[in-house]
Amino acid sequence: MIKVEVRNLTKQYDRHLAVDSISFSIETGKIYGFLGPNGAGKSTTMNMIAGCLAPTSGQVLIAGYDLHEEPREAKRHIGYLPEMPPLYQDMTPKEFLSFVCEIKHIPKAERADVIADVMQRTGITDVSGRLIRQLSKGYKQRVGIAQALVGYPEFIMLDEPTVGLDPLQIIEIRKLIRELGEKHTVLLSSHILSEVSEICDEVIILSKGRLVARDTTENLGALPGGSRLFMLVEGDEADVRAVLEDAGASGIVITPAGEGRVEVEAEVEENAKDRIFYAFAEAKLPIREMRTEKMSLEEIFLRYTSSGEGEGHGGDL
Amino acid sequence: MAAIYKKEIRSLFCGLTGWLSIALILLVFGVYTAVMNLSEGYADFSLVPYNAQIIFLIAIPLITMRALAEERRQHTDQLLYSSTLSAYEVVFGKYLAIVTVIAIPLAISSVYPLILAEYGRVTLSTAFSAMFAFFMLGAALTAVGLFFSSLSSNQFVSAALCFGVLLLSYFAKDLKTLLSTNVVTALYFFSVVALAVGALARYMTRSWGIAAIVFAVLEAILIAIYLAAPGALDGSVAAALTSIAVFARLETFCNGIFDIAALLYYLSLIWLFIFFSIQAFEKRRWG
Repeated sequence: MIKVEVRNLTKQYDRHLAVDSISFSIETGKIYGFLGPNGAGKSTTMNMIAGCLAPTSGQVLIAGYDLHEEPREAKRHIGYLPEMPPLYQDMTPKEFLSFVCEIKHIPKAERADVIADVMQRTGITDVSGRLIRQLSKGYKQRVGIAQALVGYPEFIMLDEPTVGLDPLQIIEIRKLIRELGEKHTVLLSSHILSEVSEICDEVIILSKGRLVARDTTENLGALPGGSRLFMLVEGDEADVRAVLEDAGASGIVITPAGEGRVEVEAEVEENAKDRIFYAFAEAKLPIREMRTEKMSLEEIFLRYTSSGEGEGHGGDL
Repeated sequence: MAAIYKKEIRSLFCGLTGWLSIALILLVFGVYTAVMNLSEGYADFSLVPYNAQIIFLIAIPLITMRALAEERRQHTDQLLYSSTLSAYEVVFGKYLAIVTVIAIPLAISSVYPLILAEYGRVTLSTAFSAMFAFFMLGAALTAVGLFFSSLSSNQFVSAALCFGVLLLSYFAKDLKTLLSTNVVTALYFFSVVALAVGALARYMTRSWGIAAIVFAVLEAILIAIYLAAPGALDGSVAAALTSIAVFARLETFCNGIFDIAALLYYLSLIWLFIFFSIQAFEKRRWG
């Protein structure tokens, strides 16, 4: 597996700072999700990694080659599907892929096999003879992905691959991306949270051009304060609060629920559930209901991207 | 580069523009051959390319307008930027494809003097040197057209700009005889040129500041020359117009002179505008 490294990547448009000194590296054969609201700098960053856009400052290293110094060597390892699939409308998928083979310097003898294989993997063999202009948006997107696969680059970047597709097409494209993840390292951008949590192994969250969080979806949910406890307890408020505080919970909110019961909401550590259970048992406060919830990706996302928050976490990632 | 060349040839013949340009050039050559050589009975075939050059005013914008503008509009330039192709390969590949298409009707028309020679005395050397010069003129104008195609994502804007510039170049020689050669005219004339350069600077850099500085510097130099050495401006308008009169250079060839200077002029024009096109293409990457 190759390594993709981004160092202090910055893009400044006239007065607008689109990407502000982003650094990260990707090396495993996983599916990475680039998450951020519109205008967070996802596409700009991807364009810079693909060599479509020159960074104002910073460095992109692909398999150890500097993208700026040795573009030929570096670009060989990337397949890129931009936000708008770059398709020649008056070609058929087959002609288009043959052109892509040529500009990617695939030896002539291998071209037919590469094209047939790529078309089969993306499921466009049936439409290979029709003009791209006449294809549905879902098929166009597939042709776009097929184009990125030509030459079997180890690293594939897909910029918002499911935007504008109907639900059925979205499911198919997601399935395709998951299959790609088995053989390639995939970086995909999206502003659809369910999509990222469904497909991606790891998430990189961008906000206002800055990298604010990066971890697996699970770990992001379990960050300090990430696990939330809900309980329904028989007893009075003061006793319940005392037990919870002894057990190390924070952010305790207790509301009376009638019939001598109280509803409890608190933030606890990941493994504190058993301890709290026994603490309540010792205090002879019967628990009627108890569950913990991890933060959903929506909440994590809002936590990191809403203004002012998440700044503290930016540093230690 | 071969991939770009092939793709461009394909797209020229897939749409209307390639066929239409070939048809227009063939039509004009056919009509002038019929009128000049067959009907009027002139034995000089070079009159045909000499009269036919006006067709470039339409054919060149038509055939070059899509080249780079359409890539931008369809976002297919992203594919080229992310590939290992250099800007030089992209621009030069496209250039060669367009020049090839222009060469086709000229190759066909070059048969005409051979046919005419069967029925009378035709100076073939003059005919072919005029045809060659005509091709070089087309090649130079193609480079100009390609540059205008790189400026916009709208092919019709590119075509309009290209047509305007070609028109100016076409009439530059006539304009020269109309404008007075005195120093004040030169001052006004070059002020307009400075303004145009400033406008281009604004377009390329999107900065009013840089455009204003470019204009101010040019204007300052101009006024300094006007005040210090007005003699230098005498006749300069005529010289400037001569230098942009790309079409007028064809005349020497048609008079039976193989003009090396004119060929060098065409070659430098090709080099210059391909260089500009590469810069304009590369500039988008630096956005």
